[in-house]
Amino acid sequence: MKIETSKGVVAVAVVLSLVAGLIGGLVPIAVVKLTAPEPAPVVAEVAPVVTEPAREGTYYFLAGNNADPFYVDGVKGFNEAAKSVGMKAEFVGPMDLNLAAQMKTFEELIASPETKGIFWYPMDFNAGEPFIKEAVAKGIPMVIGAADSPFKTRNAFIGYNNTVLGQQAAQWAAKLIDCKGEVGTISVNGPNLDERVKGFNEYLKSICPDVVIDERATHDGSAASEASTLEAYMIAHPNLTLLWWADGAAGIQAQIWKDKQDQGVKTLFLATDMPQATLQAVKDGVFVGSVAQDILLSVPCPVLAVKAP
Amino acid sequence: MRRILGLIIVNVIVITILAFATKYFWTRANLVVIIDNMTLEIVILAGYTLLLIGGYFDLSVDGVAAVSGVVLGLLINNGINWVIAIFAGLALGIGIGIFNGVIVAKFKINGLIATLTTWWICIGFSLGMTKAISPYNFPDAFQVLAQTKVFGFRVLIIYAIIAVVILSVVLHFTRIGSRIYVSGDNKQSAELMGIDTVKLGIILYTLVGLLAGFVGIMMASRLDAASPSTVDGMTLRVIAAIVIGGGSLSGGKGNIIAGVLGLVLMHVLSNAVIQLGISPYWQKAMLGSVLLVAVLSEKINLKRRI
Repeated sequence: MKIETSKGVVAVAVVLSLVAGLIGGLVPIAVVKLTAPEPAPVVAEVAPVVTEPAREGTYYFLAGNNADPFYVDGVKGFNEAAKSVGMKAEFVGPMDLNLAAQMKTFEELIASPETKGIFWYPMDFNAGEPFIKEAVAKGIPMVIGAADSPFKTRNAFIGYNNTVLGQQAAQWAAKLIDCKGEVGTISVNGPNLDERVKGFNEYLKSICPDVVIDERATHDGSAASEASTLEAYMIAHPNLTLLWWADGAAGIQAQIWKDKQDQGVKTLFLATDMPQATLQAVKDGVFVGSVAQDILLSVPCPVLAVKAP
Repeated sequence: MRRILGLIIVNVIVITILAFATKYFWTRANLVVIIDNMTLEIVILAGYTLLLIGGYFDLSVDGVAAVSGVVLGLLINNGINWVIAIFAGLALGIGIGIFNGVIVAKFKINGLIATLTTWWICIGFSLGMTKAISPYNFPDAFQVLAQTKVFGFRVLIIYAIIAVVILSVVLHFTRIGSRIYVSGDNKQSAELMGIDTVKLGIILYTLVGLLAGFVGIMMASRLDAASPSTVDGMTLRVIAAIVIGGGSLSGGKGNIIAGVLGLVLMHVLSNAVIQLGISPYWQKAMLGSVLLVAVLSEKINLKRRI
């Protein structure tokens, strides 16, 4: 009885994951205390479904900066999806933004006969391109997430369109500030963040030409660096109307932002993604909202797609 | 003393340029932000200077800070009194420091390799225990420890001053301070003079472990969250600051005040890239170039004096 129930849950989860991730899940989901505006006009590229026959081995989710709480939901979904189809799965990659370490792992995965498929969250497209070609040539299904490679040599891209995510954040920002004032962004470095912030800045400028858009500031991914960057940025831009924190690490800065609000800072703080601390800050009214990607649904897709006949 | 004067001059020049070149650099609020964000690194720097002068290295500081903060956070979230949790975090820092000291000073394992492994173990435990989700939402009484304001600054500045004063006195006015210099300069000579270099090494690593644990706990208090990647890169910044301040990587040389001035320069420059609105792609290049000029100018001045 218990087995039947779990099978049913798994079956529903599989169907929901595939449908939501491949078709409908490509548009960012928002967790804001606002009425959501119309979706951004650009739609993410729909990836071809990999039809590689199932093989023995392990499916790897290769990322970077793996200590980021952003991955928690994705890894959970990835592991559950793998379990549901009886496949071994593993989340691998460096804990920091170490490209050399990510490339080393990439090379090792391709060389290993254990590798059944690779889902790559890129840190650098150029650096990864030779490995993608090698993986595809060896028949290892190669799927990219987070941001699509311009080379298109991968089997598929499954993930959010970062430009769209940036545009959607810009739409909310425009509505929140009534197209007036000064807007800034903070994030960690990375190609997906570059796309996201570029999409945000360009779209905001197009719909609110009078808004002043400040240069983005970046942090190194540690809590201390995030805090010092946030504080310095607010001093450099004292008239900021809205700050968009474009990566998933905003939640840990909630206390600092609360202090600023207590000191009379009126700047609106728009976060990204759904770590627990971020959601709590939105609920508490510390952040005005969060532009979120549901990676719990999107990350399982490569695993499920590989298993599909 | 000349090194300190040289660094004061470099800092004054850089700060003056920034004060004129940017709108908000020379404001009380910005200066408070710069100082607030370097206080915990000053605490580490004070202890680390003694370790470096003694001829030792410790790459595990970031990891020890992370695991101490995480253990504290998990204990508090599991209903343990925050005072007990603080003692547990500090004890962990001390324990790891003693472990580092024993394997490096007693068993003569290379300090870089030994503490690199400790760092990895600590980070691994931090991530494993939290699954990358930082414990948060701590009691108000605990948050007061790092968030209280004193003359507009976070109270952390007091801890930094205490660490600098006590450890400067130890270094320059006590017998143990002289022994640290002698031991770092030449261990064999130090042993011939009757100095127990093994015991000294263990004491120095224990001191750094204690301070790293303290920093992890204070970061948790400041942010109301204990991140497993709380101070990534702090160790290298502190080592760079000590070297800018005239410290030698091979031991026997160094000064806490000069190191603090080196750290001031680094934080001022980090702040400047944001104040100047420099593209994130160029920030590190700008930082590195200015620091290189500062180090080279100091070397050139030294050669002229010789």
